[in-house]
Amino acid sequence: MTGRRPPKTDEELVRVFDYLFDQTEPQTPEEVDAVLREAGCDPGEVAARMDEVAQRALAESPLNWRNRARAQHEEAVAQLKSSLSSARGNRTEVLAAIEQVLTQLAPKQRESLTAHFRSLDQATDADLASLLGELEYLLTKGPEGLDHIEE
Amino acid sequence: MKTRERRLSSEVFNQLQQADWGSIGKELLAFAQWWAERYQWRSGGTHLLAKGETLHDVVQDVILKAIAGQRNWDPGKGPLLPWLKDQVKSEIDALAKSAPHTREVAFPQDQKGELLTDDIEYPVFEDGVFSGATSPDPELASIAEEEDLYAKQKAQALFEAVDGESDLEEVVDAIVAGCQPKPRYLAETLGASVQDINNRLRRLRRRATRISREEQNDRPKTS
Repeated sequence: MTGRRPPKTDEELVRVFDYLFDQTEPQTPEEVDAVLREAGCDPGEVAARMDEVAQRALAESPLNWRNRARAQHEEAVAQLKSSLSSARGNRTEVLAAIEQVLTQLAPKQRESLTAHFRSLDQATDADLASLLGELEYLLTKGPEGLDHIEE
Repeated sequence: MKTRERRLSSEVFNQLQQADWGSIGKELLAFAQWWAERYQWRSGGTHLLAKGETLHDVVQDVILKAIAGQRNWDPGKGPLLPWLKDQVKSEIDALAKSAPHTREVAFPQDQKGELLTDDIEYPVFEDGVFSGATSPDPELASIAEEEDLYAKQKAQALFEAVDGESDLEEVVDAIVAGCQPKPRYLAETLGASVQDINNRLRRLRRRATRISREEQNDRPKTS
């Protein structure tokens, strides 16, 4: 049954068409493209532009794993620089500080580290300061950081 | 100041990364166009551009806010596209409501959303009095006269819009003859597909809106 009372006034006719127009939301891909073309847009260009906007936002998001990894790397570098800059003093003090750090390591880690740096006496002052900075940095990272020593 | 931004979960972010944004963007812009034309037909205005916003801006803003987590999509509550369309609709509604001279009329509908056209009771305005009113109200009379003129102008625009367009004329004729105002009933009556009827109706609305707007602009200002 498709019949109803015909609209009798202009107002009623307009209301019926208001209602009818509200039911014409574009649903199929063909309808979507048709609406865009009628509005003077190229559907392909619209798709490309919207995709570009979204991909750029996704790439710049802090939730993107690349950005997370980059942020973690930058933080680590900053901490290492900070540790290195604080590793100052004369050779004797630096050697003492290194010994102090070594006492904080597990025996296995200490063993592994001393295998890498057997001849601390022959190392230059700069190398010792650098080693102390790295050790202090690894200590700040906790067990995760110290695991690197075993690698 | 508290920020509205909430952190997206990695799981939601991963789903947003997997989405086909080209296709979504097209659908959103077509939807925005359709929804904006609804306001333009009803109010006769071009107010959607009043704040310097274009529909492209509206759609891009919604996409960016969704990805940044400023508007949080919850996959547990439904798919992405309908949720994004709701966001676009909210933006356009807000723009339309902030515009002057917005006209909105609610329709009587049943629980399924069917229009109860036979139940519409139009108050009769005669000699400065609405049916049921006890005394003339000059302000109401002025509003009624304006509404009456507005309806006449839009009806006229509808008839002018179909001039020389036989496929559109068929649609208006079918409604005037008493066809139920649903695309599927029009399709049945006219032996066409629902998609074809929808295309005709959108074209009719666009043509009628343009005619109505031109007539409004041509009309001398009375205030």
